[in-house]
Parts: sequence; C-alpha cells; structure tokens
Amino acid sequence: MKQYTLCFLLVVALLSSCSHPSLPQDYRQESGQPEIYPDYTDVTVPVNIAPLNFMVEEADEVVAHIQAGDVAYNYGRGNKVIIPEGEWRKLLASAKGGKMQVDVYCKQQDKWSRYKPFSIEVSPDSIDPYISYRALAPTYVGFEHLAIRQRCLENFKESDIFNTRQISTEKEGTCINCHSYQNYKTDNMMFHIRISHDATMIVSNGKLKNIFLKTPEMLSVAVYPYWHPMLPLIAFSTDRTMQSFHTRDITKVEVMESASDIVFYDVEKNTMQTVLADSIELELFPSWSPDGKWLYFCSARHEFEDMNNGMNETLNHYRQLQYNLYRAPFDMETRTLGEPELIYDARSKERSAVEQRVSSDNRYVLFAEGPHGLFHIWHPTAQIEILDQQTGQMLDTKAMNSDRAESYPSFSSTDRWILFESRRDDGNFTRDYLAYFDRKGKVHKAFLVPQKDPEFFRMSLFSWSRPEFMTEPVKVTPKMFQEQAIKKPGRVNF
Amino acid sequence: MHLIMSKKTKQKHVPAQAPKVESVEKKGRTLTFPLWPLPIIYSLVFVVFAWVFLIGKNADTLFFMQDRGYWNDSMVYFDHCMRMPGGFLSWIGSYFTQYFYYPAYGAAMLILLWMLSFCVAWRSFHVRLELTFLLFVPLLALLCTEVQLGYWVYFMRDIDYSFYHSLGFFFALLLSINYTRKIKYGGYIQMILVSVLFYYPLGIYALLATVLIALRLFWDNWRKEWKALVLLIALLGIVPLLETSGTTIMRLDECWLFGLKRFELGSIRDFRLEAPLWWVISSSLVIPFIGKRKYGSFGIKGLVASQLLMVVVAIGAYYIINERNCSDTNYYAELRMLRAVDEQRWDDVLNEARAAKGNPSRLMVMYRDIALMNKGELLNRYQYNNRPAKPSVMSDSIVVRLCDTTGDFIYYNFGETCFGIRRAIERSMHYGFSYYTMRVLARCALINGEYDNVRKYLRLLEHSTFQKKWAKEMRPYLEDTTLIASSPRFGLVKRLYNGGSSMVGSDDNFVEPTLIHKLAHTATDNPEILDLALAYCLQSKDMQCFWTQVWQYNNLFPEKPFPRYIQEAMLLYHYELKTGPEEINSTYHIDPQIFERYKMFIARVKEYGQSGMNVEQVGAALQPAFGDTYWWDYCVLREIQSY
Repeated sequence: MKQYTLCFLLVVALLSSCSHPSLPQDYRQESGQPEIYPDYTDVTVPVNIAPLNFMVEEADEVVAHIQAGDVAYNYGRGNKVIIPEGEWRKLLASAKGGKMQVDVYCKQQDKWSRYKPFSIEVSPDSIDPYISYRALAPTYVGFEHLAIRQRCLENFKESDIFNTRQISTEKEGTCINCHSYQNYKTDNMMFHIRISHDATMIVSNGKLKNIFLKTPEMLSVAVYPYWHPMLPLIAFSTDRTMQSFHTRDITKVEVMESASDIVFYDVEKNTMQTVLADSIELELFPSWSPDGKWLYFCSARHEFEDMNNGMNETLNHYRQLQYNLYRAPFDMETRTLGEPELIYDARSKERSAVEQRVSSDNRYVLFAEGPHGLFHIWHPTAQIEILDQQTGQMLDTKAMNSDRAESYPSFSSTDRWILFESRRDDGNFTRDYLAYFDRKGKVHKAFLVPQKDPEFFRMSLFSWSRPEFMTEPVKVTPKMFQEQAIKKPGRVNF
Repeated sequence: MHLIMSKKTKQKHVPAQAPKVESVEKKGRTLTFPLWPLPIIYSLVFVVFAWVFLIGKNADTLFFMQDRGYWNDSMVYFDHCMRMPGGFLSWIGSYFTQYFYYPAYGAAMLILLWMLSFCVAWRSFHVRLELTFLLFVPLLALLCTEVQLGYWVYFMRDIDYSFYHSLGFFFALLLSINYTRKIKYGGYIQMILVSVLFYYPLGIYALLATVLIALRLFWDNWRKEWKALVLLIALLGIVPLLETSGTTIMRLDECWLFGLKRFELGSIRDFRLEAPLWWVISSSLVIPFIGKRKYGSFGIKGLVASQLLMVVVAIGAYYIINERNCSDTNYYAELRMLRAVDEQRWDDVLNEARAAKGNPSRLMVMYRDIALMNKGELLNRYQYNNRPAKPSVMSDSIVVRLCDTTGDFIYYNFGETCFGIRRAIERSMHYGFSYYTMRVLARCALINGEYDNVRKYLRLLEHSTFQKKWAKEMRPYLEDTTLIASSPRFGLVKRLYNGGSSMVGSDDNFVEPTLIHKLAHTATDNPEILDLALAYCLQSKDMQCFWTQVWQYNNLFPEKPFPRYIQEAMLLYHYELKTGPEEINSTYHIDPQIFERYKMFIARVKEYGQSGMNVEQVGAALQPAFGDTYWWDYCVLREIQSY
C-alpha cells in the first residue's frame, strides 16, 4: 500500500511540477519586453475574460510568473503559456481594478533569458459574455464551407450557430451572412442564406421563420441589417453590389455599389417599406441608436451620367465613392423617418466612413474609415474611428488601430468594450480584437480574442469576420435552423 | 510441414484443419501440392503489379497528390480533422500522403499497408490458402482508386484521399478480428464497442468493421447467431444518427456514407470513379464467407477451379486498372513541367515541351513560355509546336480550366501576383489549402511585399514533414528583403511585378487571354518586359499593339536589330503601314535571309490558295519548310481555344 501511495504522490508531484514549473535561476536579463503572441502586453482586459494564453514563437521553452496581489503562479509548456481557467479566475479576482504582472523567461539554445515584465490591467467592467462571427476562408468570390459561430468570451466554449455544410450540396452551394441581433439578445435575431435555400432566417420572439426578403420594388434582396432595439423592425440596405480585382494594389479587391437604398422590414406584419431611395445617394449600412430614436446610415453621392451603364461607371469612378455619415430622426409611433442630417463629412477628408455604431448615450459614433468604398477590411489603411457627437471632435483611437486594415466595429451592451475585425496579424486573415473604452472616452490597446491554444490563429486558415456582441447564446439549435432552411420560404409584402 | 488429408474429412459445419497441401491419387501414387506458397505468390504478383502502376506509370501523379495535400503537426489541425466522422482517418491519411513527396517511398508505404491488410484479413478470417487471392480484390480496387484519377487530381477536395480508404479498410479488418472469442456474447459486445467507439474516428469504416463482425458471427453459426444481423441493423441505423445528431459539419442524410469519396463537381457526378470504392466495401463483405472453418479440403477439382477463378480475377483486374489508368500523355507532361517550373529547371521544361507526343495542351504551352521567358528566349516560342491540343477533359461533359488547375502559379510567374493570390485563395476555398497553394501564396506575398503574410504560410509549411525545407530556404528573403530583387529565384518575377500596369478588372476565369492581353498592352521601357509585350503581341495578332511595341523597341534600341520573329511579323504586317515589304525591309533592315524566305512563303501561299486547298491543307503543305516561322503560326493557328 505504501508503494502505491508513494507512486501516487510521485505522479501528483510530477504533474504539479509540469503545470507550475519553477523559475530558472540562471538567466540573462533582457532590457525589452518579450515578443509574445498574441500580444497581451500592457492591455486592459475585462474581469470576466477567458485565460490569456500566449506563446513565444522564437523560444524553445517559456516560463511565465504571473502575479496578482497575493496570488501568483508559474506556467510554461514548451514555448506556450497555458493557464488553467480556475487559477486564471483567481488571478483576475485578485487583480480586479488593478493589474497583474507577468514575468517571462525564455530558453533559446539552452540559455535562459528574463525579459522586462509587462502588466495586464483588469477592468472591473465586465464584457458581454458572447460574440458571434462568420468563419470562412479569406475568399473573394467563391465560397464552400462557412459557418456563423458563437464563442463564450468567459471560457473557450465555441459552437456553430449554423453551418452551410448542414444544407449545401455539391450542386447547390450555400452562403450565409449578415447575422444580427436585437439589442444583444438572441430571442430576436436573423441571418441570410443565399444561393440555394435563398431566404432570411428570422427568429422573432423565439420563433423561427424563413422569408425571402425581396419585392419587385427593391433593388435587390434585403442585405445589411440592423434590428431596431425595441420594435419588431429591421432596417436593411438593398443594393446592387459588384466587385473588381486589382492587378498590383495589395488591396486586391474592390467591392462597390452601383445603387443602394434603405428599407424597413416589419417582422410581425411581414411588410417591407422603402424609406431612403435618393437616386444619386448610395445609402448603406443602416444602424439604430440604442434609444431607437435615430437611424444612422452612411451614404456616398454619385450622379451617374448614364443610369443604364451604372456598373461600368461605378468601376471607372470607384475611388470617388466615399461615404459620409448621416442620421435621421425616427418616430417610433408612426415609424417614419425625418430629414437626414450629416454628422460626419468623411469625403471632405478624402476618406470614406462606414459601418457606424452608436453608444448607449448617443454620444459616441464608432465607425470604420478607409480611403474609399465600403469594404474596408480590404483597405490596408482603414482604421476604426470614434466621433464624439457632443464635442464634434474625433477621439484618439491610435491605441486600438494598427497599420493594417481594421473594420466592422461595435460597442458592447455597456459601451465599455469595442469589438472589431482586423488584419493586423498577417494582412490577409481577419481576426477579432477587443479594446477597452473607458468612461473618460479613452481607447486602450486592443487584444486578440483569447484562444485555448495560443497557436490557434497562427495555424487557422479561416477568417473571423463580422463579429457581434451578444449577452446570451443563441437558443435556436443548428438543427432547427436546418429544418426551417429547407422549407419553402415565405414571401414579404410591400 | 505437409499434411495429407482425405476427402472424407470434409464434413458439414465441422471446423477443419487448414489444408496446406492438396493431394491426388494417380496410378497408385499420391501427388502432393503444397498450398502454403500460394499466398506468397499472389502477394509477390500483387506487389509487382501495384508497383508498376503506382511508380512505373503514376509517380508524377503521386507527387502531385502530396503537393495538393496538407498536413501539419499542430493540435489545431488535429482538432479540425477530428470534428467530422472519419476525422482520425483523415488526419492520419493526410499525414501519410506527405510521403509521396518521394513517390517510391510513399508507394512502398501504401503497398505495405495493403499487404498488412491482406495478412490481417487472412489470419483473422482464417481464409483458405487457395482462396487468399480473393483478399486482393478489395486491394486491387484500392489500387484502382489511386491510378484512375487523371485530371480529377486538380479537383480533389479530400487531401487525404490516397491513404484514407486504404487505412480505413485496414482498420476495419483490424477491428473485426475475433478478440472476444472467450467472452460470452463477446461478438455482440465487440460489435457495439466498435460501432460506438470508432464511428467518429473512422467513419464508414467503423461501420464496415461492425458488418464484418456480424457476418463472421452469422456465418459461424447462422442458426444461433442470426441475432447478430438484428443487432447489426440496429447499430447501423442508430449509431451514426446518434453520434452526428446536433452536428453542423454535414447533412444528416450523409451520416452513413460520410467519408466515402464522391466524385462530384458542380452538376457533374462521376459514378464510374466511385465504383472502385464501392468494390472495396462490397468485396470485403465476402471475406467472412471464405474462411476455412466451414469446409475441409476442396479437393483437386476445387483447387483447379479456384486457380482458374484467380486467373480470371487477375486478368479482369489488369484489364480494368489498365483501362482506368490515365493515358493522356499531356496530363503527365503537365505534371512534370509544373514540377520543373516550380523548381526552376527551365531546360527540363523545354525538353519536356520538345518531347511532347502530339500537340501540347495550353497548360504545357504556358509552362514552356515561362521557361523561355526565364531564359530570355520568349520570342523563340515559334520554334516549338504551338498547335493546340484538344482541351483536356476529365469527363465527357466538363472542361478543365486553367484557372482551376494552376492559374495561380502561372499568374505568379508572369508577375501578376494579386491575381495569383486571388486564384489560389479561390481554389483553396473549393478544394482546400495545400502545400502547393501555400507556396504560391507565400511567393506572391513576397513579391507584393506582404511579408507577415509570407511568414504565416512559411510557419504552416514548417509544421509539415517535407515542406519545411522549402520554408527554410525562404527565410533569408524575409530577413533581408533586398535579396528578392537580386535573386535568380525571384528577380524576374519581381521585375515583371514592378513593371506591370496597375489596373482594376477581372480575368473572367480565363488566365491565358488575360495575360496575353495585359502583357501585350503593357507600356514599358524595361527590355525584359518589352520582350514579353512583343511576344504576346505576336500571339494576340493585334497589329496596332504590335507596331506600338515595335516603335518602342526601336526607340529604346535604335542600333539593335529586331529579333528574328519580330522581323517576320513586320514583313507580314507591312500592309498595316500601307507600305510594301520592300519598304519595311529598307526601313528596319530586315535580315536578307528572312526577307528571301518571306517571299518564298508568300509565293507558296498564293500557289496553294489558287489550287483550292483549305487552311489545314495549306498548313500541312507549308509545315516542312516554314513550320518554324511566325508566318506559319499566323496563317494556320488562327483559332486557339483557351480554357
């Protein structure tokens, strides 16, 4: 019996020494901070975030000493630092409102180096626990397998909301896109299915239906959506989209609209109504203010010389298609829009502002800004910007931007966190980043959505695009979506 | 050891000892035939047969299959594979596919795997020695799956295809071994465990193992073990459904056959290519019924009959596999030329072009032009056969298009790296990322100056077994990016990229016409690019564009004589300048030999034209004397169908 106990203790000791390695005693002190991936140095994270596992790619072995108040642990497994969720919770709790310090030791060619420690600030402001995103290869035109997935930010649980593999066949491929939720909740949500089973999947008060959102009066099917925060109403843009390819510019592709309007879809009455359809304005990306009293949108102005040749003209003038930001008052009783007003003149700066979102207090407008056009994830100079409507000034957003394309930003339900997509990792694969936006209107350094294996994004050949915050997971199961998707869709009334 | 058995020992339902010899009494003497060499002979014949087809005929295809495959040693990739039924097979299959990097090495592993499958099946089902040749039927079907692909190799979504089914078959046999003979209801327990525990890692092959166990039980004692078939039906019906309920990676109706390759492309489905896989499944169901336990000796008649059957099977297998083996010489030449271009062995590319039997495919022409361009001899392209072969087809109804095969790599070689990236990504979207694609993407990104993107692909390649060498060779270019422009490896492509025009447009899925049109119209003062522009003006037969580039050439090199084929074209296009060939001759100092030859050419054309010959006939008549001229190409090759 004694032998078994001894063996057991030995195994336990061995295991614990593996998960909490001791710190090297003999090392060389480096003057700089370690180059870790993902870059979590000096970031501010929410108190409920999943462990920030990281790696040092150039190192053979890594040991990190993480200290938050009285709580301290050592981690290291090869060149990765993998932190157990339970211990990470203790570290977060201990550092809440303060910082945790990370001391990194790396072994290269049998020699240890110790780097200048970095800190991770733990904000007491928690983050919406879920995000959803579209996972697909960084494609241009083709599509094969893509999924809308949901991820819990408090841990590493992740699942498909819907995957095209559930319904697509070789003969009839399927594209899914534009997932949207009402007020961060999932009882009212939607996404589009295109090509085969062409329809919009709408969950209304927990009930699922599929509707083909196109009437003869519309330019196209309903495209970019935004749920009204209170009403059963979705604002969509409806547009004629085209794309063309660069031969030398590393932008590689230009997505353009030759015509665009905005429509309202009443989810309960199943009716569609055009609300913005100026023939020389390309109104796009509608979004509601959180109080539901304003409809924000962006629009580019272009007077076509020949309306019948819109596609060619658009192609010839794509650099001139620059979008400004507008808003129009919305009467929730009559469901009518007032006169639009310009809130941000990007064109005067030779820029194009799109994909705007508004903070809960209507003060800040968050948007993506690039040189022209609307698909800024392809524009390497695109940045995330914030307009303070109270002062009319732009906030300093350098801390969360990079020298590569950033796009599709959104506020969390509390406004304290910003979620956006970025190609800063390698210029081609889109990744989702989070940044703290404090009460003083200061933007903090952005950080990559943490993964269980820090190597995940290095190895993954999928892009994570169109990220959205959610306060709860989607309750409708993929199977329910699938069963509904293969049914004949309903038709919308105009 | 020889054991002589009497026919009397043959009793129904009584397990018998293995007959290792057959005997026959002849004039009072007993002749004995040792049976034990039979499996060895069958095996040797099979190994030779498989080696001839795999390495003798398809080594290039095997190399290409690994290049279009992908495996890496990270847990991220393992987890990705394990999400689907048959995920483990997929992971391990893509791992072994890498070994076709050295085709003989990979083929040896594949044949070894087949021989292991043979041994497992033989021993676990106690197959009669004289019937062991039947165990090669599924293996021959597996061999057929390897050699039948032809142009489908470009459209394979299953990067693990080469080993997936062979490994699946092997594991199915391994799992169906009677491990539980000493346990009461052991067979039933084994069926349940195999189907429940192995459905996800092995997919359809776990179900095959379950079927084999059930058939073995049933065949051993059908009066008692009919319940095995009931259990089998229940397991086949329920397990896949339960284990894939809630899955999002496939349609529910796929759960029984998921992993069994389907040759589908758009609306095309080639059942003919799927047939060998069905043969693997169906022929393996025969195995439990050819065990020796049921019978005693076959006797000499049985032995002769079985060996006759063996001969029929062997001849049939040879006929089918040989008939299925791709016979298009251009297909193999393309694969070799692609590899040579990839490795920048320009002379090998040109040798292959010269050695082509018949007319070359457009892909061969493009590879050849790339080699000529890199040797600075693109204008000599008229020394080669430019007659177009019929576009390659992979079935009766679908044309193989350059943009789907190696359009990305061709674009890269002409410095059109943005289009190269686009095509590589589009292909990957449909057919999965591969080493080939990653190398193309890494090279294009390197030329574009997207260095972090290069690092991404190199990192992925470094996680593979054989591609890490290539990735390591690329690292110095990232550490010192000035090496790119000066290196023989990237210098020309970088110059073509820098000298190329910046445009926005589309290739409409046509690679060759896009390149010809763009290059012919490129305004440049770079001599290398001007050579390209002139060469493709000649090919496009766009005279206005041609004269523009000629004048540019004349401006840049007023003292330099025009290259031979340009002189030929100038004489041919003289009427564009509303002038006679004599004036062209005096203005541009045409080589007297070329001028004399031109006059002879024109005279012959007129003569043949007046005699009522059609273009084909004129072309054939002129070829011996003028086949190496631009005039001949111009007059005869009017309609080159690109694809």
